[in-house]
Amino acid sequence: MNVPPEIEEFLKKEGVILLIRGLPGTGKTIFSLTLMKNMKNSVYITTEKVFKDIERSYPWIDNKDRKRIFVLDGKYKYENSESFKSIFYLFPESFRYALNLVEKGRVNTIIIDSWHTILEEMKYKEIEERERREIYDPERFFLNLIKLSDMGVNIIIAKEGIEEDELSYVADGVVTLHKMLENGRMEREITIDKLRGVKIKRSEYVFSLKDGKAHTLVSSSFMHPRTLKEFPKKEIKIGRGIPSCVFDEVITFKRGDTVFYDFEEYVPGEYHLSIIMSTLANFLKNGIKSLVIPPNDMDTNELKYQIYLFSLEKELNYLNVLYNEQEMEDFITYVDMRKDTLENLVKIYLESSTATPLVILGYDRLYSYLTSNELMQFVDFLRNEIRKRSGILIISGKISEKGIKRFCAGLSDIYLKVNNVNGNVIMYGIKPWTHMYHLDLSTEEGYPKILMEEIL
Amino acid sequence: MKRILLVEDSSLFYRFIRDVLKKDDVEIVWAKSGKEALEKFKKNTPNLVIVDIILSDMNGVELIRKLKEINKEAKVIVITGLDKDYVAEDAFEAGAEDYIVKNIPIKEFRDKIIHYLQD
Repeated sequence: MNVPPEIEEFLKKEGVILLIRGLPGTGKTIFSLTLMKNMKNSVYITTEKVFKDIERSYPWIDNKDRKRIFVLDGKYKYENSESFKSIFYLFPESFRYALNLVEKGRVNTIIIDSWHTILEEMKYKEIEERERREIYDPERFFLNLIKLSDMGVNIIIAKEGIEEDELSYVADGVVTLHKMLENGRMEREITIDKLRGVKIKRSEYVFSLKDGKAHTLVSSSFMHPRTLKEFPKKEIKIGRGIPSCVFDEVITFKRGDTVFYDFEEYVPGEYHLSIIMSTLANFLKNGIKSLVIPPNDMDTNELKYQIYLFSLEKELNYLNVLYNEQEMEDFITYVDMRKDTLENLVKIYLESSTATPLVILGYDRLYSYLTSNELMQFVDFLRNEIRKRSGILIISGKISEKGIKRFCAGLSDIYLKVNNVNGNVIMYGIKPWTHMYHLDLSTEEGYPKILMEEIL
Repeated sequence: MKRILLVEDSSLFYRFIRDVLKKDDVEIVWAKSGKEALEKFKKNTPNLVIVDIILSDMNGVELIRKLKEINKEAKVIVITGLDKDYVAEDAFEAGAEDYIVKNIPIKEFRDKIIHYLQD
């Protein structure tokens, strides 16, 4: 999705003014160009300097698009306008040309990038004072734009700064672009402040400027697949990194690694489960024994559902789940969740397993049964036992006690944080350091799949 | 005598169902996997097939589809520990008559099976 759906709906109206505001570097030009690209009946008016930058930096703006970009001071052939008679001469030439196109029905939206650069250019133009008063006076220019919108033309204005002013009061729609740094990583958001006549379902979106284009990002809710399809196996080979089948774009596991997924409390359970289940499914499909102490997000019903979703019926021989309730399934073993019982069961399991076993530890479940010290000792025990056998230990769950988190973070080789930011699921690596990624959950391919997009 | 084909990999559940129906005039044929179920279905022509969703070689929904391919009229119900509406919908779409979650009270469970056998 390029632009939030509310903005798309808003721009289907006639005669609206949309203000896109933001501090320098927030992506106003890219956002405005994305709107121009989407709306074939729009023109873009900017200054020579911005135009050169567009030519240089945005290869996705092709020649056809460039023909719709008019430079403020450029010489354009225009005809006397009938429809816009009253205000026609009170605009610079590039606007007059654009108005001709509006009159011919080829254009219904004028995008101005940006308000201040255009006004500044007008201010310093070497022209007669009379002409400046008539055409290049900022207040008059502003009033003329309002008149244009009253005549049914849509006006989109990119403006520096986020303060409330005349423009934001008059505009029918106002959106603000923000960029923030979170632990040294870029995070971008778009806020919908107002869009008259449009129901705002969501007032904040995360967006990315990857490849110089605006991408609005949404973490979808889980949808059960229409038809289940086999989860595609990625081979686990000796001498190569081990795929997580989720974050392979940024991270590959090595034999003996301890991986710590630090999930914030409000991350939807489906995201948590799909992340750990994708790795587990791949291990099972490779015929590698795997042991799971499920996190709190995964009760046995949820576990069975995940087995169904990932089509793991044929691989159940390789799966062993330790759980605190009696169940009829052979792959679920009842355990009283005491530290010594757990350690004994893990030892038995590891002794019977092949090379590179996978152990997934839902540490938040154990937190209800063990003391903090016991839990840390058990994690340490697991790490050492698995490292000896070149396996992979994934510690995952939602826990708020900082001491345990710090302990797991300290002993892990890979440490990833997964947070919920205004309904969006965001992931970034602490060990190793990674950029911030937006996560989405899709089942279109017939099984749950986490989609990642880097936030740039 | 009516015949039930029970497709379930847990011997615990097989014993449970046998106990529940021991006073009724019912023969229970037990298949531990989907593959075994297909073979026994062809041989035994059961009046009712009871399928679990998680089997050792395929899922129950897939099995229902295969049973229906062999005999469109086959009466199949799902009895499972997997309590999810989505899976129930998949099972109904495949042709199941009912979707029963295993924690149902025993009497109600027995009545349902008898109902489907008499129907």
